[in-house]
Amino acid sequence: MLSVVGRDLWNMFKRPDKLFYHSRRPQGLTLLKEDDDFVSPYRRVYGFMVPDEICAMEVDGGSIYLATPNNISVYGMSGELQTNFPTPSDLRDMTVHDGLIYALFPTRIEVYNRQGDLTMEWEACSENSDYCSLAVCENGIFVTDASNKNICKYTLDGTLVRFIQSPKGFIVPSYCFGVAYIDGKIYCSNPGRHLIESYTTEGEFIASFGKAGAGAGAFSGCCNPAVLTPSSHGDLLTSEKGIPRISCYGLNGEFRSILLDSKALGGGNAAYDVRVMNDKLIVAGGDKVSVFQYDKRQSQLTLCGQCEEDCPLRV
Amino acid sequence: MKDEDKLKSPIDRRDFLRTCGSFLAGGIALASGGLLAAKTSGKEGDVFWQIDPYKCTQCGRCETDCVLTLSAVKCFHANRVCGYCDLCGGYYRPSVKDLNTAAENQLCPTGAISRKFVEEPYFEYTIDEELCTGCGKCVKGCTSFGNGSLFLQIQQDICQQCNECAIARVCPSDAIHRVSNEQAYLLKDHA
Amino acid sequence: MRKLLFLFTGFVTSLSAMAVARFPKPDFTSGYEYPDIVHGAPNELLWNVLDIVLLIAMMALVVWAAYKKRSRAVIYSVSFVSVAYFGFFRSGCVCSVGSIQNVVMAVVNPDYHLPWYVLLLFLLPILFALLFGRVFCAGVCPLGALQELVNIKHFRLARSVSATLSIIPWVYLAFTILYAATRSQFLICRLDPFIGIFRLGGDIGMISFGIVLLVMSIFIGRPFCQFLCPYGALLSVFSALSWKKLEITDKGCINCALCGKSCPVDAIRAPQYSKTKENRMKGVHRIIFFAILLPVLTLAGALLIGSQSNALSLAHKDVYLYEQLLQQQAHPNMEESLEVETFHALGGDIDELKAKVDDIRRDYRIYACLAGALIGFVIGFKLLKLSLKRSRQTYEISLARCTVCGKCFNYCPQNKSTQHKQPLISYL
Repeated sequence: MLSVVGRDLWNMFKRPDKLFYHSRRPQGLTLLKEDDDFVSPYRRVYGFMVPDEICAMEVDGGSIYLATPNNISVYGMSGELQTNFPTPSDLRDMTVHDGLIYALFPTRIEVYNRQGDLTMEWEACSENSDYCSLAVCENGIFVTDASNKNICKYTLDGTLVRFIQSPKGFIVPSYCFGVAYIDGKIYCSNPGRHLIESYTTEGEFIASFGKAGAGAGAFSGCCNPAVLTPSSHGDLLTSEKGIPRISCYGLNGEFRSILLDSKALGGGNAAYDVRVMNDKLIVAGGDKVSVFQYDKRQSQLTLCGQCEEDCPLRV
Repeated sequence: MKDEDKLKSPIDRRDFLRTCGSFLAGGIALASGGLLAAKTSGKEGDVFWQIDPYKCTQCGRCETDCVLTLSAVKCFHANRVCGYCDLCGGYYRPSVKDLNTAAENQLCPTGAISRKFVEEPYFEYTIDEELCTGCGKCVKGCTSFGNGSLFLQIQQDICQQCNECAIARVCPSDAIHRVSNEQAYLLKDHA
Repeated sequence: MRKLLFLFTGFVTSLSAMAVARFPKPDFTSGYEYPDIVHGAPNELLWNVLDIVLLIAMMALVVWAAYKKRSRAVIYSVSFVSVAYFGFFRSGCVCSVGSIQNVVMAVVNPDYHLPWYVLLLFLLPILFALLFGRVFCAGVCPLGALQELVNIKHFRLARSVSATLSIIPWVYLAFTILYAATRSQFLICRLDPFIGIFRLGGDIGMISFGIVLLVMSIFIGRPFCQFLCPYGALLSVFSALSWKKLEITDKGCINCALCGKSCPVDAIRAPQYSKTKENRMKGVHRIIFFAILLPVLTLAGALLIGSQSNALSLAHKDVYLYEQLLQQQAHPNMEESLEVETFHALGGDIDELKAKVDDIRRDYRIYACLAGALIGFVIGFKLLKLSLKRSRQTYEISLARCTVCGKCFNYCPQNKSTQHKQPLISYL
């Protein structure tokens, strides 16, 4: 008995971790073994932090536009703050077109100029709309609706033109319903079906591609891809949630490669927002913005390095 | 007389000291009792251990560290938050090929989640509490890939309400705390 | 004010919960309705009321049995009930021994809510001890009762050995208070040897220690109660000052010496006739010696334990995490422990943690010194008691040690006349 007491006392003083703690790590909880062989062809060159969590990001004309829950800020490429103005809370998405900032809220759309003055705003077309993301072109504004499961097209001054339905129906389990305007066509994700679908600006369905799965070239989890953005070359970049990664597809659906995997992006579960600026990838997630550049040496053995496309990213 | 006094005094002195001591001790006991009783009437009764689902990081210790052989921690499903997906992030392994109910495709090691077809393309997932061990694998899958409608909670009619919860001791995100009688469950049911 | 705060936090959390957990509803066309799931309701607080009622009832019963009837049989049956109800049915938690920790935390931390029944679990045995002696230990405490039930033989330990070992409960108490006051650990809950047996499952180390103690208890009565229990240490102080002194018989001791070796915890003191009165100067010297020794020991204890306060502070979760983070920074290739990984994943700020750790370490310095002082004082006091020889005319019970088990009642021939009706259990 003395030995037990003595040992306990000794441990209390010298090795409290043995007495009080254990570093048992239950096995089998890492869901997906990270593909340790994967080397990202892009290297993080620099980044900067912002005071709040980033909801949406856009790049236009050399500036980075960031939307945080109550604010829209404009930063220069090296992280210096240029403008900053408040917005109502529950901002969902934001994009920039023709010098105007379009801010999307669950049931309305607001338009600001660069100085932060509200130039236009209008309410959503139906009461139970729940808007997720938007894309703007000279043809109109395309807004994805998660509760009505369709895409609403408005003119640039806010008049509703039409609804766009998917032939098999959109399945939207969560607010990851990305849309982008590329080359005269509308590309959007059908997240529950793990597809990327393309439509004309008049709402006609063109084609769809994509499959479910966790490996490269497929969309993991229940609702992916979350974010779609064009590269300046005419490829499509997707950003997924769950296992965050950024992949590159051709517009016809051909999978090219994964550009940035979870480790390069910084882990976590949420999807990272991504945009292309000339030869750099700008990625925003959490409260950080990172800039990635193609690294010739790193990419020699990657799919990206062996791709035959004439891509401006790989300068 | 002086001798008698001398003989009497040590014993009397001892008794006197003893009586003093008793009163002192009694006084201390009652005073501290009163003081502490004042403390008890202050707040609402925070008696029951519960996991805060927003802090939980699904480390897996809920299954192994409960003093009971079958942990009092169970997985709950907030149906109103669920997306009813075909490819459920909490039901299927991430690398699943066929979406059927085969055991090798499921994340749950005891098969406690059952999948039922509702209508195209929605499926309902329910948890059998008796099979659930509180390992948190489905919770991790649902939080990473899905809406986070699966979450771990301590089932209050099984929990022993130990003085110090053994799981709370080792929780890396400090998610287990005492809650009051009215709020015995911290549910994620808003949608 | 508090209600307002409560409402406010409830409002804010519900807001944030709503903001986080809103999801687009699947458009069910088949009229599917969400199922209504009912979760198991927690056990009613009625059990706790029953606990307290039974506690009072059983202690009163022991008082009656010890003082009025002088019957060990009643006390023995109370032990059975205690082991069955408090032990196996209620799984021995929350127990009076552990309630020390809760009370200390309530004293130190104004936010900590102390449930009323835990407070009563702490106070009632002390009050009864102040009035009647350690009746709680007799058969009401499930830990004591369990040991009592297996005690058959009784070997006496040398006085010096038992005196040395009796310091351990005070050391245990000092550390318990230290860890509870700094809000790091519930030491008693960690090292309780019998809880594994009552819960029928648990850490193998704890259970085997409990079995070892039970085996010991067959030969040496109540090793946990005598040499380990911190609550027993507290009760012994109050019991020594009790209002009613327990006597083996109410008919006057005839010095037959039959009871002398019967006590399982060595609480019966034999008569000592001081033939020669002690030299007065020796007495004075002794007083001066102890007047110096006690403060010196107290101070030494305080300094000794206080100097180790930083090492001791690792018992607190935050301090341990901080040390792990520092280690991680020094050896970046080392595999991260789960706590460190979670800390980073949740965006923890190491400077904030350092500020908290400094606060905790400051608390530790104070309480470690106090704990050390307590231990030093107790050692000095015990030495004092050992050196004093009290003169005694008859066989007396040392109230501080007596756990009112009632074994001695059956040995005394003066009691036999009232107990001739119960010959079957006379061997108890």
